[in-house]
Amino acid sequence: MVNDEKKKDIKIGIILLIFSVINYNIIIPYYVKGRTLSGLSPIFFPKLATIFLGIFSLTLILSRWYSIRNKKEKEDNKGKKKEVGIVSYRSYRVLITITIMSIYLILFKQIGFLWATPPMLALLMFFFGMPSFKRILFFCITTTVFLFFLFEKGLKIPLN
Amino acid sequence: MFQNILEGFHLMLTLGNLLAVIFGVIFGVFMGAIPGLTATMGIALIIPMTYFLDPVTAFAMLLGAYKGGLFGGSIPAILINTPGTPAAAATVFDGYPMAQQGKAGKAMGIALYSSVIADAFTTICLIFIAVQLAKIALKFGPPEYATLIIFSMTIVASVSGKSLIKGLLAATVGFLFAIVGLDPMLSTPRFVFGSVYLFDGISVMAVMIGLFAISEVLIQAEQKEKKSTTYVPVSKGGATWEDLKSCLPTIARGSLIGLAIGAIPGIGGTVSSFLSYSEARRVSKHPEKFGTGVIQGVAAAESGNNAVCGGTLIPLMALGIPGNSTTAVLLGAFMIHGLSPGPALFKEHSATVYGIFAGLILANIVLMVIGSLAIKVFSPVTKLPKSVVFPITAILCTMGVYGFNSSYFELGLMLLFGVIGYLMRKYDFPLAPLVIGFVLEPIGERAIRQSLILSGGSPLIFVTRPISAFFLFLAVVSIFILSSAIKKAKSLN
Repeated sequence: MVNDEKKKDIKIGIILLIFSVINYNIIIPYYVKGRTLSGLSPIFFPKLATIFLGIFSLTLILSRWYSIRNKKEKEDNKGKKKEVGIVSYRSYRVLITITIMSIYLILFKQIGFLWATPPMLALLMFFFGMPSFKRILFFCITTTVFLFFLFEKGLKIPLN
Repeated sequence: MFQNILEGFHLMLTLGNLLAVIFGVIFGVFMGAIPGLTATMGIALIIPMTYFLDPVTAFAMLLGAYKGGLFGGSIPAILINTPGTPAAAATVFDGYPMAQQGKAGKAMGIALYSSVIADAFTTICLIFIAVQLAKIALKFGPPEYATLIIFSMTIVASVSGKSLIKGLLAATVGFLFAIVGLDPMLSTPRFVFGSVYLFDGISVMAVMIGLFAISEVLIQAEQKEKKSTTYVPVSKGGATWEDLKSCLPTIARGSLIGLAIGAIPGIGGTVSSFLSYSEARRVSKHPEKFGTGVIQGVAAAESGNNAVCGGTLIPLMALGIPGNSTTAVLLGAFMIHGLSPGPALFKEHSATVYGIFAGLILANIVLMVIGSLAIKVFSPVTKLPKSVVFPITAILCTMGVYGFNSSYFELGLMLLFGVIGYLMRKYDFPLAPLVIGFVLEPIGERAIRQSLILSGGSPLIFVTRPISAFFLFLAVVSIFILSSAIKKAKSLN
């Protein structure tokens, strides 16, 4: 299990290292305007931060790799399979939540707060495991009305 | 001086002023408790109500809202892992774990006591040594700011949790996110990818709410409803005298840090609360317990955050320099009421100034009462099932971020940072260093580049000025202490 976490760290380290190389060589030259590399150039801090990102990523990779080499631990294959199953189920639920929230943000812009909020709130509450339809209805209406009056009427923030 | 203070109280202690303070504090707590809405917005909203009030009543209301807003931010931070204001981000680290252990009442209680004590301390300093402190603060030029930020970066080591290298990586990523937008010196675009929405940079509110609140919603979404928290009524589980006694040294340290940081224009409550938290962890006998629900963690963050209130009023009232966005709005309010903050204010409007000071003390007392009631009102949130709390949190966060700048683009950023925060938590990357990097980068970069312009490119400017050299020395000492503490912890393991 400990080695699994370390392998994950190595993967993240490799991703960040690749990102820092891409950032330094491709993104910064195209998307940060500034010609000279000195303390006063707009390009200095992006490059400095990217160099540090690369160094820290490399340190993470090497430290975890060194640690795995020194502490070879036996893995419980059964436990490993079970964990993969839980992770995929959890990831699936998280992806659905992100999708619901993304749809809500789009609807919020397109049809406004008052129409977008109740169905999305109901969907989220149902997805989170609220069994009672009456309670879903109650919370959807009260929350929407309260927030509408607070922002639109009280704070004068137009909600479309 | 004492004669002036008594006259101030005489001016302040009327029913109308008392009602104004009560309204201001209630409104401030309410604004702070809603994620995304800040004390600054609250003050801006009630300024029109003060047009026809006399200056003392007007400022009693406005400063009440300021104090209430600073405390209010801790309520959602403790209850739903969502900092109500950016300055309450450090309160999340121990406040939320305490709420999960059924100690929400205790956490909010100590947050209130710490806020009131730290605030009272800085108000007294404001009254007695404002002019002297403001003179010291005036000596802060770009090199001093730069080295203060370098010193503040050592906080990253304190809040990195189990892995320092992961904390440093998170802080660097925070740095890169803060670079997005127009260059602070030359206004050339950096990482905006052709989007005008990114010209102003990434909103701090979208980052904070995304990283802490939305990521928590996603974590909770992994599994269907299960009773995850134990509700303890506040009357049974509130903060006790013993709790407060154990936190007093932490509150004292946080108050001093908040006072100093507040008196220096442009740094702000977020840095102060993180510095205070870091210091509390550094001096603690059990630093490894910080982040798991330690009451001193809440006290440190809240005292550091609230002490900034009195601190920021020092340069505002003594010199007419607003130290943050809230005091900038207050400066406008001073002008609306025909007052010009600065040395002349104390001479020309002495009675009004001391009336305002009395209002600050009164607001502190009112905050204690209103805050206690707010704790009782908000505590039952922990009793609600997660199928109610987290969907409503998601909607509330959306509204808060939208209300901050009325920008749909920032809602997308909030969701993006929610996903980033979720992935960071899944891969055991600490969130706090990212926030610290994000908050400190703009101040640090501007200060370093201004310093180098002043010195014609010579970095010696950072060591030849006494205050600047002092902060560099502190940074070196901190690194030395932290590295020896890490070595010690490793050898114990």
